[in-house]
Amino acid sequence: MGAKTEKAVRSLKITQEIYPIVKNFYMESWEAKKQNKLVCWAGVGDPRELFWAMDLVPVYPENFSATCGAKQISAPACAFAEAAGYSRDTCSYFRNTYGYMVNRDNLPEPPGGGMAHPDLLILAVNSCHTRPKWWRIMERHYNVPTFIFEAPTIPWDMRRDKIDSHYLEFVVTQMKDMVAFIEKHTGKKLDIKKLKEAVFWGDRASALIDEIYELRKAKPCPLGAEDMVTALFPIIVLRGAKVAADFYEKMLLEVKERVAKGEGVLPNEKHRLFIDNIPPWYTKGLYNYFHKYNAISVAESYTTNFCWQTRMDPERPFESLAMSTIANWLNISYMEKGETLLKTARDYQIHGAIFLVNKSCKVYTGSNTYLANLLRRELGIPTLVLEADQTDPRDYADAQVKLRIDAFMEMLA
Amino acid sequence: MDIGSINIKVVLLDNNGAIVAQTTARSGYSGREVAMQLIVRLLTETNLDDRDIVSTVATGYGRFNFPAACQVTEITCQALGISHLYNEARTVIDIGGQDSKIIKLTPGGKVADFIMNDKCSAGTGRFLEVMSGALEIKLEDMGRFVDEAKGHCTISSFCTVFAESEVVSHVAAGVPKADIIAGICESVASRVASMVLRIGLEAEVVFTGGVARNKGVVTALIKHLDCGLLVPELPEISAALGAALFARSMSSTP
Repeated sequence: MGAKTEKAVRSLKITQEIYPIVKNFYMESWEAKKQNKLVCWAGVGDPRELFWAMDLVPVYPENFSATCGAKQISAPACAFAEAAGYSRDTCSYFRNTYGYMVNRDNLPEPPGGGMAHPDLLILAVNSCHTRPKWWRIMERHYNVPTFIFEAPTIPWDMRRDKIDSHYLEFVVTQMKDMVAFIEKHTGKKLDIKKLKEAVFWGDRASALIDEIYELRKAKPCPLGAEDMVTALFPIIVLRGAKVAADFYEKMLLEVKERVAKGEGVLPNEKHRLFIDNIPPWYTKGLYNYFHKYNAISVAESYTTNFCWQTRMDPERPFESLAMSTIANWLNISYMEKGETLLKTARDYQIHGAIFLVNKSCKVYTGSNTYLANLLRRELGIPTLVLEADQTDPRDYADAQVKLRIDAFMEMLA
Repeated sequence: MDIGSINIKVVLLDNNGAIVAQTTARSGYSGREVAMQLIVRLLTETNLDDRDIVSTVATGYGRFNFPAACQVTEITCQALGISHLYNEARTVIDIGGQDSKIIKLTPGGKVADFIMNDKCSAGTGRFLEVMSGALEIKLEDMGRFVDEAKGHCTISSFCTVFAESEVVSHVAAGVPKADIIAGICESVASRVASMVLRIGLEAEVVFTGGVARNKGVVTALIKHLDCGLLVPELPEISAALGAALFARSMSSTP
């Protein structure tokens, strides 16, 4: 299955600033030792503001694997993990990181030198249970202090903007244990002022990206998935640092300008699409493929609905972070996913929905049938299912995928 | 024309949409070359030449390799072709060389929805070719064997290659050939039936594509779906017919 893969063609100027930020992010992680800081490897759904506040240098293996996917270097690393005995059915984020953890010298050079070795491993278990196992594998390999805590999935009768207080307390208690853990290893106490400041900047970046998502409702849409998924980098790994807020401030300006001028990605926008699941990082150009049908993805569950961003109150930092750690797309019920999708479909005036079958993330993919049926039944929106793994290009058949897109778009026409 | 993974099909229509000539050949290495040769053959047969061809539309996997007026997916072409042949058709089962698809039609003959096989060729023409090779029988004899079968042995593997190994081990165990073949047809039918039920079965149901010539699969499918199946006289050309109809509608639009 030698994959034909394509890079995204971007429409926004700001997107070009992302790759230098990415490279820099990884390069800086190697500088940590010189600055007497500890490198921690953390999960992408973790309370990242705490890491900034406590002077840690966080890097994120999941994001690293996505970056390797986007740089078209993830396949050999995945193959290496399989050779080491891990099933091909395990998450490709894990397989890629494992490959680089154990066999880096024989693999293509990752951007910015990749992740500096960890002094600490930290993880909030939300979304899936592959990650804690993965973190234990890394713990055994690196033999470094590891802290793993739980952010429970919320049940079908709870919503992420109204989480019960005992859920939040459960997470806050563990986060405070985590603070003690970090203090023990850095030798420095948490400065609550720094935390409030980080939460302030995290909230600011979140508010800005919320505004950007709102603007994608415009017709024609000023900003498609091909730009948006790349522009997510700061809110995921730099939330809480001022640089993320600055980035989205600049991005918001550019998007506002486009909307004011009526400048869409497509001169003749005809079909507005919604795409579900983690982007197939190695072929983001797939989002551009829809353009030839005057179709564009205007909303995605990975961006618009995921909640990488969270509105937080700097005066209640722990509670805010607890909410953020619980409230991502993969930690909520299908009921809430369904309600959210119906609203998105109406707000963004969606004509068609694409669901990816992503072998690496069964938690994400599991809701496909329910959500597709819901959209069809309630709003008459036609749906298409495509198979595309998030980071393993060997689990992607370009010709088959494009045939299905062609047929779907002929049907919509 | 339909430039498929295993076979190329070319259909020539006249102004009234009647089939003037049609032909099929193996795709081989260059589908495009074969398609060109088939066109020449049809023109010779019918005493026509290039200038008599008003418009050409290509469908199938190889459609982008051919310099046609436009390329349309075989899903859309099947819908056109089958609704032309049977205007009561609402569910189309198309099993080709490497794809199986179920297409739901609107009363107007447009595609309402479709579903295709996931990932691999199990349950398609390729699967049946491999099996008939392993059993040293001709594909067109499968129907006869299925009629003779006393029971059927289950082929449990999803994968064509692993299923072939299963077949070989059944042969070694002395299972009657007819029963193995019944099991193979069962396997195809059950995969397809589950796709049909997923998208929703609505009469009339038409079974087309090269595999529809396989009476063994037809029998097994009727059993699984518990409904009648309409099978075109020339099932392998229905997508090519649809492409030709599309070409005709394009050229008659002012």
